[in-house]
Amino acid sequence: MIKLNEVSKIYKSGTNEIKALDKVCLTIEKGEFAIVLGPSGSGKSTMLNLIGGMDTVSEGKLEIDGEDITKKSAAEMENYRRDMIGFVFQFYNLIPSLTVRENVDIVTSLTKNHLNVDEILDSVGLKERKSLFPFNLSGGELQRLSIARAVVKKPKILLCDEPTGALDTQTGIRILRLLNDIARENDITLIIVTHNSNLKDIGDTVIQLKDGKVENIEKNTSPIEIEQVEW
Amino acid sequence: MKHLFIKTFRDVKTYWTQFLGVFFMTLISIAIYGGMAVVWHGLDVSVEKYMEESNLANQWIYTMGISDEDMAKLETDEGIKDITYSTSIRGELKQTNQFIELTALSNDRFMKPYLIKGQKYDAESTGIWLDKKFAEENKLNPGDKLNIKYEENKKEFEIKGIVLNIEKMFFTGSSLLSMPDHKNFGYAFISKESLNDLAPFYPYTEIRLGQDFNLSESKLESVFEDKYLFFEKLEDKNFLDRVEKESDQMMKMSILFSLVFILLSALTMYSSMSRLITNQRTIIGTMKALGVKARKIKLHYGLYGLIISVIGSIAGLLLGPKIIPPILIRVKETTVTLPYWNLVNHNSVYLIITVLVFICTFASIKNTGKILKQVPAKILRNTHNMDRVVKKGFLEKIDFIWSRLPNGLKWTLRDNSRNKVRFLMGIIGVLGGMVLLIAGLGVTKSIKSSNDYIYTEQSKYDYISEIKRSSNYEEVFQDIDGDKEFNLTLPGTALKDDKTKNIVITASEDKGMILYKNLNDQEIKLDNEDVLITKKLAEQLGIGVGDIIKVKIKGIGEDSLKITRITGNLSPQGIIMTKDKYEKSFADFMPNLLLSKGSSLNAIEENKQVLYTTTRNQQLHQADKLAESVEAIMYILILASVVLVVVIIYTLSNLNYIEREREYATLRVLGFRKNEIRSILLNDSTLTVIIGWIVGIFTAAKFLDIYLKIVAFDSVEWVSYLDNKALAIATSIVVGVSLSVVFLLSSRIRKIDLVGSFKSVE
Repeated sequence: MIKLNEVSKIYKSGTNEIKALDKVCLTIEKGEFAIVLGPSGSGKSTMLNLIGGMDTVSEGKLEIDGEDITKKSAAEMENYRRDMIGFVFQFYNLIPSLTVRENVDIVTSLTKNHLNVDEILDSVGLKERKSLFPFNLSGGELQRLSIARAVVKKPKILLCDEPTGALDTQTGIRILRLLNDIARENDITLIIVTHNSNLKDIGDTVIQLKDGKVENIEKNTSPIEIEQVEW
Repeated sequence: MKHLFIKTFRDVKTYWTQFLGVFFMTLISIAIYGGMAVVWHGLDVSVEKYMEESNLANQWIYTMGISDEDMAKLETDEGIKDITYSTSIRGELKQTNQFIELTALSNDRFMKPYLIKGQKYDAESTGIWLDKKFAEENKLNPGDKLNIKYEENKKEFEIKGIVLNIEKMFFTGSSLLSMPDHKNFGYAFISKESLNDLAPFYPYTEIRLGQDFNLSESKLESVFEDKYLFFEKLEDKNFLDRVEKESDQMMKMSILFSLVFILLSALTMYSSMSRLITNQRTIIGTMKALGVKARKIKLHYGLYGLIISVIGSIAGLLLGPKIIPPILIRVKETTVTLPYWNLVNHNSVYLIITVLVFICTFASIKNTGKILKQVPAKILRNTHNMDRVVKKGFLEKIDFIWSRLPNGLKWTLRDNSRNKVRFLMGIIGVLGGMVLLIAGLGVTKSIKSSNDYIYTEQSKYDYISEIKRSSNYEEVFQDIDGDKEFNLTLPGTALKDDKTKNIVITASEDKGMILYKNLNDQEIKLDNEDVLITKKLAEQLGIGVGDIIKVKIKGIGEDSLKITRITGNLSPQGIIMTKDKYEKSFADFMPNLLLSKGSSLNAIEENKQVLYTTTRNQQLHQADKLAESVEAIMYILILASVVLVVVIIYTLSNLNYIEREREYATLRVLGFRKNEIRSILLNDSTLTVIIGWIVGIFTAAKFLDIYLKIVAFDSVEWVSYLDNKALAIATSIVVGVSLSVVFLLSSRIRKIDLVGSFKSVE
């Protein structure tokens, strides 16, 4: 379970202070599919970065499975990212000089308890393209590869920052389906950050942010099928 | 445009580490070359001025004695009015065993002693004008008295002035001394009358003439008949040839080393500027999209390269002549004595500045232009290097090997094949560092090792004495016990086709005091028809065994000799023959050197026909001291090399890091620990260092070989010697710097802003 209790993130720029997150309180249950919605500058990426251990909390408590990660040292945060987090970036951030398979395989060195590389590539539809380099892949394929890389180490939480932001509608839908299926199959808490409000109906929980504050949290008892999303 | 200028200066501030690298590379290159150039060019200019101030003659005529009739013939028959007659004897200071070469001049028309202090030279005066160095070493000043002895005669002189003689700028006191001994050997000017007080009836023996007259050999023979020895023109004078060689040696040393410096700097700067511009891709795209003219964008980025290289060049031009000349001149002045050594910039330094500034500016403009050729949308596409094609390399096609390689190494290999220029630049940085350091450390070691060979392997005598020449030498030196070998060494010239070289001709008794070895290092025993040539001279003249060479000995004669063997002896470079062969080809054997072993030093020194004696060890010591003048240059170059190696390796590694920072940040987000990422960084660096190190050793050995061949004087061959110590030091520095840089950069991994790294470059 992810619990944010009065979490604030303040960026200082000279004498100016920018509150990217302002006393945010929310809870995401284990295995849930959460959609974080909001316009640019609403603080959604900041929240993702804090949950992913990529940035530090300025104020408040951030608990993961009951443990406050704000108290963790830098080394403990490394272990936290290693063991708990899978991250899917909007612009993939793949290693260009490693092949498709190697991009996934490199992560398997981080944990003994990982998924089979070939199986995960098969599941994201890249089995036939495993010897190619990222340069040879399309946008959708790159994102699928990015997902495979994120999930191969069986993270507890999968964080996706605008995963469909650079993709066309059909590819976007396929990517969302893939993320959802993999998360369900592996009991992964899935958090997708997006500015696309059409996605709100597919998540179990929809968190709407505005100006660094939670505007609304909505539990969706009957999420629609991803293919039904009107883009 | 105003805003673009502001941006330029702000960018320099933001990317200061990359700019600082370029600044230091230009600074070091220009400082080293410029600093050395002012010395060698300054030497040329100073000597030229010194020549003018000394009224240097144009022709020197050497005779066995000039009578009043001869003088009358020259003045009336030939119509020569402007003549300077001179003669010299070797005086001894009473009780101190110090020697002074006393020269009497008829006037100072074509030999004007350069006055340091005291009175101007007067050819009629009874006083003495003493050499500055001898005076300094013995704390003598104008007004002091000197008692000088010549054979049985003595005379007291008052020092009238302290002077320098341009013709004696390399004065040592004996041909056996390679370094001056100013304490015990000096020279002085006196009047002819005073000289005759010490050496009654001693005639003038030399004539100096100016530009207006040029007497031919036949004319001189008709005037002086059998008293005529030989003449020399200004261009034949040994001291001028030597000063030219000294300047030439310094020039070659600085040019060759600087060439590597400049080449390395140029490549690194080109790469740095190109990559700096590539990293500005998004901004270039934005400017283009906003409608800023391509010309303005190019000008803006051209300023990147221009400003920093101009500042670096100016700093180098100012610093080089301040730092290098004091060290270099102090060392060089141990062998050459000049009244002044002006520092004059050589025009080539401006050419080098232009080249470096052009390279930096061109690299910036060219890369900006390359980016600007694309449409703004393509420039702005956030590809993060994903558009750079990866091809499977040769190794990857061998699955047996490739599949066994760890992922980290595969990654490094692929990344290098994908960024060939970056990889190559890294190798060149390490390679260049190895070349500069090994050569810098190896030059002095090689010279000293060559000296060791000359004075331990090649020479076997205990004492070597310069003796007065006579044909009944065996009788004259019979009191000296032990093993003796008499040799004659004379300066001469060797001619082959259109090539001429100044050489040393040795006529030897060959009794084992000097060993002659063939090219396989086996000893050669000279037989009567043997004419040996040293290897370096043979190469310079393009001579092989069986070839005929014309050898000319000044004042003695000339003959065509057939080369019978080539010897690997390193010094002196020239022709060696037996005394019998010499007598057959040239003249009676009258040795000027006595080499002895197991003899009593007292017996040698007490012999009146012995001019100067030294030991083999002292000769080795002197040769090593002489090598130290090269060592000083090398220390400067080594120091500059270390700084350059640090700058190059840091600059290249820093750029590599900046380009891969996003990848490292990704790995950190994926959960890689700092030490795991550090090992990836180390992998990258290790491969570059290993390749650069291996290729560097071979290149350095070759460079050292060429360097020694080019910078050595004609009279000696220096053999390159690459010792383990030099190799270990160079390796420690290069590998040490590379690893330190890796650790320095890896400390940045800890500080990577994981959020900021994924944002675009703005």
